[in-house]
Amino acid sequence: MSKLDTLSKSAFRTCAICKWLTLIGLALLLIQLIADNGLQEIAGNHWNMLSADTQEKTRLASAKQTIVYAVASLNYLTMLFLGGATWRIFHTLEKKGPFTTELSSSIMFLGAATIVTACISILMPTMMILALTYDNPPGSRELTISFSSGAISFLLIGMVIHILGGILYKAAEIAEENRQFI
Amino acid sequence: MTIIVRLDVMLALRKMKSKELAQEIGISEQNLSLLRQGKVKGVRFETLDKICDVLDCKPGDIIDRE
Repeated sequence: MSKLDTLSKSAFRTCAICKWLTLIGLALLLIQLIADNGLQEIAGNHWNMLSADTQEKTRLASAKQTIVYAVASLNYLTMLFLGGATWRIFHTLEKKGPFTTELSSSIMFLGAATIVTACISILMPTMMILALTYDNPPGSRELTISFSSGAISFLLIGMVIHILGGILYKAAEIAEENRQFI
Repeated sequence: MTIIVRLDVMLALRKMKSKELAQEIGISEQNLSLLRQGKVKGVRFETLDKICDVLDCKPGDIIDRE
């Protein structure tokens, strides 16, 4: 492997630090979910989006509560998914080095994770409001569709990362083939 | 189509070790070993020229086709 094919020692060290920071971030996210009752907070925020009349007619039975928490947990799952994809990039870069097909695949995976996270965040209010009001009497069921500029930007960034990962994958394949030329 | 690398024959004829040839042409012994075994996808004209220069031969003496 030539000098151009590898990173400096300090870059590898930074990679290792970032990898561990990502893991710590993920652990903190889990702690926040458990200690701060994150699911209840998400459900509460969406509950506040309902009109007073609908709130009166909405009963939170245990089965319904489970569905609401399951939908709310999607938010945390996508965050963990995104964190895992970020960790994978640092890990692959540290172990396999740059200009490898493995690293390009990790970048494509991060792009896909970003797209999924953005889609979930766009669909979250719709799913939560639907989960809260699906069994209400006719006339008090609600369906909300909302878009935020942040989620749309996130979706576009995810698409760009995914495409860049695909381009890097092709470049890594060409670099690998060139290495087999003496 | 089978490309045969006859680098071993040429090295034997010139009584030269592969280590010396690798040093002369400026490639690693590992890469030269892969070339001798025909386990590479291709040889650059530049490398072929250097090998021919050191071994005083023509490309056809090193590479053949069966």
